[in-house]
Amino acid sequence: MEDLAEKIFNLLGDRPGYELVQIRFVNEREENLTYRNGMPRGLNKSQSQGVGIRVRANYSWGFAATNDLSKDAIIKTAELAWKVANSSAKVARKTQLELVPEPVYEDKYSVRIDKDPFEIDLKDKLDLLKDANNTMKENSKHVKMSVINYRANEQKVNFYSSEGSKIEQRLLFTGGSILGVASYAGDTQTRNLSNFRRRGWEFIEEYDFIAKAEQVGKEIDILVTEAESCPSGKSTLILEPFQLGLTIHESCSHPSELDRVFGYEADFAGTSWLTPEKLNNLQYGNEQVNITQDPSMPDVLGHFKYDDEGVKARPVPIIREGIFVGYESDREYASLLGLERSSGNSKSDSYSNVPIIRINNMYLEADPEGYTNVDDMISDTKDGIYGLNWKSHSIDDKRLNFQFATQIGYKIENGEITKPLKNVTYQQITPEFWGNVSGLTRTSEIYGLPYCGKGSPVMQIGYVSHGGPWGRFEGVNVGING
Amino acid sequence: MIKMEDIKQHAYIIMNEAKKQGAEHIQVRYTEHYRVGTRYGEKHITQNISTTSKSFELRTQIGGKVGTYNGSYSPDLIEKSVADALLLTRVSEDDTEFPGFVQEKYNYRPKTAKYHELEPDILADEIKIVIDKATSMDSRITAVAGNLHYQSTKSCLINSFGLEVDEESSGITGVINVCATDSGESRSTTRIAGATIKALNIEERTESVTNTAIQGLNQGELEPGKYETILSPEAVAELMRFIAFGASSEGLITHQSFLKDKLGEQIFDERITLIDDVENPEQNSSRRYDSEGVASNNVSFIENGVLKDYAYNRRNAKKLGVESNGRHLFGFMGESAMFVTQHLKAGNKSREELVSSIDDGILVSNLFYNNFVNPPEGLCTGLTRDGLFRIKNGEIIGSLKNMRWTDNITSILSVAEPGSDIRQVADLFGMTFMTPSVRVGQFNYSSKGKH
Repeated sequence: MEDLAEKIFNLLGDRPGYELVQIRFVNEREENLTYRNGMPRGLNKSQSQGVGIRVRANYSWGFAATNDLSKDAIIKTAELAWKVANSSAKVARKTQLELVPEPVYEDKYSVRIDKDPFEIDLKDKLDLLKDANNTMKENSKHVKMSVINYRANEQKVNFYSSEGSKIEQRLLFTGGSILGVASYAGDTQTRNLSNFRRRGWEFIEEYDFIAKAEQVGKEIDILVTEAESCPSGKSTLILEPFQLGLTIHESCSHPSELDRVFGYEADFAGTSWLTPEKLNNLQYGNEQVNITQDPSMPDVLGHFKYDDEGVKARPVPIIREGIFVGYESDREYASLLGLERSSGNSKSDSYSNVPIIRINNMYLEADPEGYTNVDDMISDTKDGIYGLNWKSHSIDDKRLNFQFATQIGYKIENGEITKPLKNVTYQQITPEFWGNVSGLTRTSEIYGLPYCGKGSPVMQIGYVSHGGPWGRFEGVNVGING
Repeated sequence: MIKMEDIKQHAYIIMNEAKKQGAEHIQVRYTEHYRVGTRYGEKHITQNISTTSKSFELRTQIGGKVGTYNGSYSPDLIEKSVADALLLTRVSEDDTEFPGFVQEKYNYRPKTAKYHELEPDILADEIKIVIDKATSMDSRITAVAGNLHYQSTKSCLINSFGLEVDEESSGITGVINVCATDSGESRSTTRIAGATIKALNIEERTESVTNTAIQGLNQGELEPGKYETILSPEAVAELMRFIAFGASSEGLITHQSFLKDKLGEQIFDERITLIDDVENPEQNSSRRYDSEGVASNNVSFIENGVLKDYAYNRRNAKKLGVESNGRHLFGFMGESAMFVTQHLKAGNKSREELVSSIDDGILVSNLFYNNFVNPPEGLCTGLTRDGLFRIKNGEIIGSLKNMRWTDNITSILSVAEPGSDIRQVADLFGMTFMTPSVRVGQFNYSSKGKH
């Protein structure tokens, strides 16, 4: 691979307008195993390999990819990337923009894998899924559908840059989901627990599918037999780390992507209300709100050591004591804003897609002086709703008006949970929501979501992680119905 | 350019290897794919790509056990890929809902589409036309963004029962987003699709969205509530995607469909007729057979507002005791069945006539980030985007800030009149919709937006 990369650098290096070549060889494999209602329902394995070549010439980008790994095909692909870059230059940016610099790295890295999931006997995996299916059935009178999914994905990426970087990364994740659907007396409700981490099979052992299936089975019965509909009006709202993480994802992570801010996502994902003049000047939330991006954090799904431009991962503050202080960038957009360095957000989901600015690992920091745990927080809440786990999400194209639904909720009265709730929805305007934080816990958790869609004309799937402490918010609109 | 005979040969190499390694029954789907995609923003090209790929799906059956393997095609890896696929099948348990591979002999329609490759320069030239056209129309046009995506595919599907069918296709989709700035910002978007670049009517669509962007400047506010509304084709397409989920047999089995147990019932206004128009080569998602090899023909699944059929694949059809109508899909979400080539029958009134028929209402250009709130109920939410206008006494009197909508699909379409301005709208998930604007009796705006 390295020889071929050198050959491509030499081939294009002397041409007029040549600036840079980045080459990614990606070898990917996946197991995606599902049991539904006690039977196999989608036992899938996949494997792909290919090379994506990105050329910058005349201040314009070109990208070409192939999964034909013969030497001739790769050279032809490099020529095509060159041709595409020159085609881009026909409708180029009026001002010439240099990329922000990044040191050159030679490195070989793997995420922590104690037990290689691809080496574990397939039968053990299928037995686990089947047992979890049975457990849910044993714990629910009204279950109509139980779906247990296991997934392991591995990407081996060899990155070569004409600037000199040679980086090999083995990025692997495992995880799964436990979904139950119950129907009773004309009502249908769902409950779904899931998590994914950049760990090996040991994470699956820790995650305990059987205990989760028992929980889902019991809770879907509660939802269809006991839960009342969420009341409408303004309410105090407590969110657990998964749902809080999703709220961060939509209302903080996406609007702080610099490509959106500059209008380059206007055709698909939208733009952003976090326009450049707001950097270091905007009260995004109250002083309890500290949000950080950190792909260097080990084990979480958004973890990697280098992004797809060879930028080394590091923590980047996004919100500090409520003030908006940082964007997610790549080397080009960092330059456009006048930043000194990329925040390391350039990622592609496969060899065949071009790297774009993607969310990685972003979380709300816990409050070391805050509530001991969620029980402590609930006992200090006079009247409110506790919402758990994602059911529905929606937010506008500048990321200001969001509305979410949670799978299950609980009514809190005088410091105690008094009854379960279903169809819990909440809607708010982003800075009003984050400006009304009334408490955080000291404890926190981070969850992986392997399904963030962004990019056009080909939508790419991002592996992201979010979370933080349990959070309490005041004056939230809840119970929104048609 | 690869020949179809070579594609079939690759598929048979995989099938023969699977036979050799002990598979009892085999299905192979082999695809070669070419694409050129160009994205632009702030009046210049930001991304420009050209990719080729060779891939296959191998499904093997041993007794009642079934496994699926997807991979890149590489002659060196076939033996290992097939071994991996068969290992998965062997350790599985009997899948009693698996319907088996196709043994029927279908009369497939003749091929109409062709595989073509396109030079990246051609898309760049089209983008220059869009940018030049929009910026020349008004000095308040400050940004133009969008994309064009051309794809061509050659594929074949074979199985060990003698099925051999092949397909070629090519098509283009795109987005044009124009931003006008005065004291504030206004954007307008169109999502275009066609079999050829010419079919996109790029200049005409650019002119239309540019006019809408200018018209959208200086937005006022309106209190949330229920308003009579005209939904433009892009907005109607968003609702049609919800209907696709509702009419999927998958939702009948998973209890997630708001159309479950409603066959034969009047679910929408009698002026709503929806056809899954797979026979129309002008629609990008048209096809002759589904990914199981079942022949796909047009299905009129909502006739005069009455639900007439669901989308079935072989697995769901077997479980529900009916025949597949050739709507199998295999993708990111696993196996499913869906109507992805919908055509909403046009009415007689032009868009202007629809506007003039409203005394007090709203015109919606686009809907954004729409999602089910509660799928079995059909309750959905989302936002308006890129052009919201106030209608009073039959005229557009100004633009509005965006609003969130939360409403039930069947309620929205209970009083619905399609217009005559039918065109193809591209979807983000590979679907295409042929739809006109639709006037609906009421649409529930549940909260105010900020822009």
